Amino acid sequence: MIEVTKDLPRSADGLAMDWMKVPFGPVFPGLPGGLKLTLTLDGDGVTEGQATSLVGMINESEEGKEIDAETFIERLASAMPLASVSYRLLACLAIERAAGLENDSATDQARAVALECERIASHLGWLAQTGRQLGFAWLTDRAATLQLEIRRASGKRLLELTPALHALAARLGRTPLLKSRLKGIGILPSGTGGLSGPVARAADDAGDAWARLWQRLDEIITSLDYIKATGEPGLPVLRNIGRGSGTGEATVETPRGEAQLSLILEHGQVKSYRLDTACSHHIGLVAKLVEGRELGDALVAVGSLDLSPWEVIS
Amino acid sequence: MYAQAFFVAVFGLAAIGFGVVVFRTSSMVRSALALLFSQTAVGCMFLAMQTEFLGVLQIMMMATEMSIMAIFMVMFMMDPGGMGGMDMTHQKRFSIGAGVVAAGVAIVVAFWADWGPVTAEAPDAAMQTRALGIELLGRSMLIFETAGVTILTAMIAATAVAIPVQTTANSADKEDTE
Amino acid sequence: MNFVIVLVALLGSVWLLAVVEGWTTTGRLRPAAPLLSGLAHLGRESIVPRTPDRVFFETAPVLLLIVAVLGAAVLPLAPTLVIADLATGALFINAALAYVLVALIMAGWGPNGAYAMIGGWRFLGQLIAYAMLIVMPITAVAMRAESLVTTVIVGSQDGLWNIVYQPLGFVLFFIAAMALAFRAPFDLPTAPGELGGGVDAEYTGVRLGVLRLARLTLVITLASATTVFYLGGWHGPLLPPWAWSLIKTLAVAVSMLLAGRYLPRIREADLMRWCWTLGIPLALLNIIVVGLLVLVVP
Repeated sequence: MIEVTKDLPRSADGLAMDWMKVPFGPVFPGLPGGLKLTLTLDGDGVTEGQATSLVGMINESEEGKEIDAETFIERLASAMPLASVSYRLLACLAIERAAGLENDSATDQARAVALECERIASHLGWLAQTGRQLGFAWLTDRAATLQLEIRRASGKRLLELTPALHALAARLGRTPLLKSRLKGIGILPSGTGGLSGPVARAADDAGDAWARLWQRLDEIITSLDYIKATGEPGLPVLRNIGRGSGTGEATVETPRGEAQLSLILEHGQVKSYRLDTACSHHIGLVAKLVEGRELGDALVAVGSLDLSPWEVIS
Repeated sequence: MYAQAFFVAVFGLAAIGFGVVVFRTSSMVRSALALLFSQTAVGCMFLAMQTEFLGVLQIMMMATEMSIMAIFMVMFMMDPGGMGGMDMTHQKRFSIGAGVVAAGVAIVVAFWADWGPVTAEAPDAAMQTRALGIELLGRSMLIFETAGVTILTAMIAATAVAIPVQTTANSADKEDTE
Repeated sequence: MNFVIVLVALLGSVWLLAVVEGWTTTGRLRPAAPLLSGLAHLGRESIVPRTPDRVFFETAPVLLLIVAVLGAAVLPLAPTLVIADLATGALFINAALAYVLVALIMAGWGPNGAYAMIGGWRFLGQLIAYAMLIVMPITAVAMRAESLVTTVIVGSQDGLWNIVYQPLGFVLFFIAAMALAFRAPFDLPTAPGELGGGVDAEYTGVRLGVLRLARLTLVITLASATTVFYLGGWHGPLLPPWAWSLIKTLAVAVSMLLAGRYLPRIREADLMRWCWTLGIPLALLNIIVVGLLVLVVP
């Protein structure tokens, strides 16, 4: 037997076993749709793995083809279904700056409120997805219901939902098994390169899945407070840019981290653009997070990054 | 009486049949589970022979034991599914010889041994369980306790041997590589 | 006759449990839903994966159903309403339920798929964790009754149920029973979010229907065992004995169902660690306490 097994790769426990390459996704109950995770499994342990997006955008505008500014905004917003308001805002800002428009504080405020609304909804969506991954049916139901309500809500209705959101956070703090499930899983220390958004902010704390959960719950509360202090949300709409030309650059803190767009505008048409998103960097961290982990822990670690495969730019 | 003989025969044949399957299949899991069902059939023979406690115990213990054996066979064999066409047999001549000799000895013992008088009426199952308990905690206690402690010692020793020794030298090595 | 009555009671309980399960997940009370979805399973295509172990693939759901029914066979609904009042009843139920593991290993190995196989072997690890916590509390129950006969065990709880006499044993047995029935939060072999259904993943159509029926039957059997061993079986005022047995069984089954809804799935390593470092010492303590009580209290 020694002759047969001596060249096989060894796992951490020293046993030589057949390794399996198993796909998780693009349609998998525990992961966001469109994300494909390929794991090499050694029994119930992961020896290596990588994630790819099957639905991400390609970061190239077709040569010589100009897109109308309005169309560009619509396209970018619909290409990112999990954070369409953020990217609509990003596109509007970049185009307006390219056209040389001054900031208008009233518009900015309404836009910021809309962005915070989306942040709450997005984090709730992540909670529902996490509930599905962990087999925590109550969390999935509750977070999904709240998410739908938030998306439909006006500013006033949002404030009525505040106690419900506080109660959700308190409930998660009291749930047995949750902490032992998330604590110490998927650790990303604060020095790790390419971190952004809630993942980066949680890295200043413990940097594990448990810290990321609480970071997102805290952000929900912070966003609510901001909305309470500021006012009604207003969907970002492009102001009149005429037939302006120039180059513009904008950065928006989307629910998943910083997104950056730079574009060249010619006579009201977008000539070329360059987009950079947080998820494009986060997806590269997956290989390190899953290596040597048990399957369940590896999936929790990947889930805690809140990857949106749509926002992965290749 | 006839019904009893019939069921003993049926389960006996089933035990032999599953026993044959153990060696006829190349799939490790099939082989392990065939052995399990062979043993289960032996347990059913106990039941048919009115030794309820032993029968149920046999049926219960074998399920877990054979399943654990199955996973070890899957882990250590190169072709656990038996789909790679690998030849699983070796030392054929020796094993045939050993098998024939063992079968001959068993048959000789079965026919020549003095089995004593046949019990006319088996005591009821509750009485048997009670008698078994008193036997286990009486005359046979020393034997069973010795066997139990020996097995436990062997298990702990085997685990201890399997764990790599942590010396200061090789733990320093480990830290270097990490 | 007893056989038919117990089987009907078992089926009825499974139906009620399925209705409650649908109610908690969808929020609507639809009494016909389990029957309709059962019929729908019959009509659906039942796909066989490529190069399966056909024998295991076909046998596993049926074996799971058989062991669940066999386990229920020794559990009394009323003093005389039991299929087989074996002298070794409390041991027999362990023997029957040990084959849950065999069925799951077959279901995992049979379809020749990675998710199913990991799920099947995971349950072997789970068994290492929960097995002692099933057997040792039952030992303490048998000690009080001074018998392995299930009807005698219920009889021994006349006046003082075991849940009061040995609460520690009840808690351990209840948790271990949930692990044995692989209900959330112990659904490691199926784990929808981790293994896409695990041992269930490759089953479709009528085979999946049998598998689901078997799983629910297993929950009812274990709930019934909890009732017999700890909740005084048929004892209760006013109502006839069989009614009390059924009410208690359903209450236990529903509480198993609800407990899973409000908890995330446990990590395998945690399950193993807690069962061995906490559960088994507590089970031994339970045996010692019950032993002292049996000897000291007349």
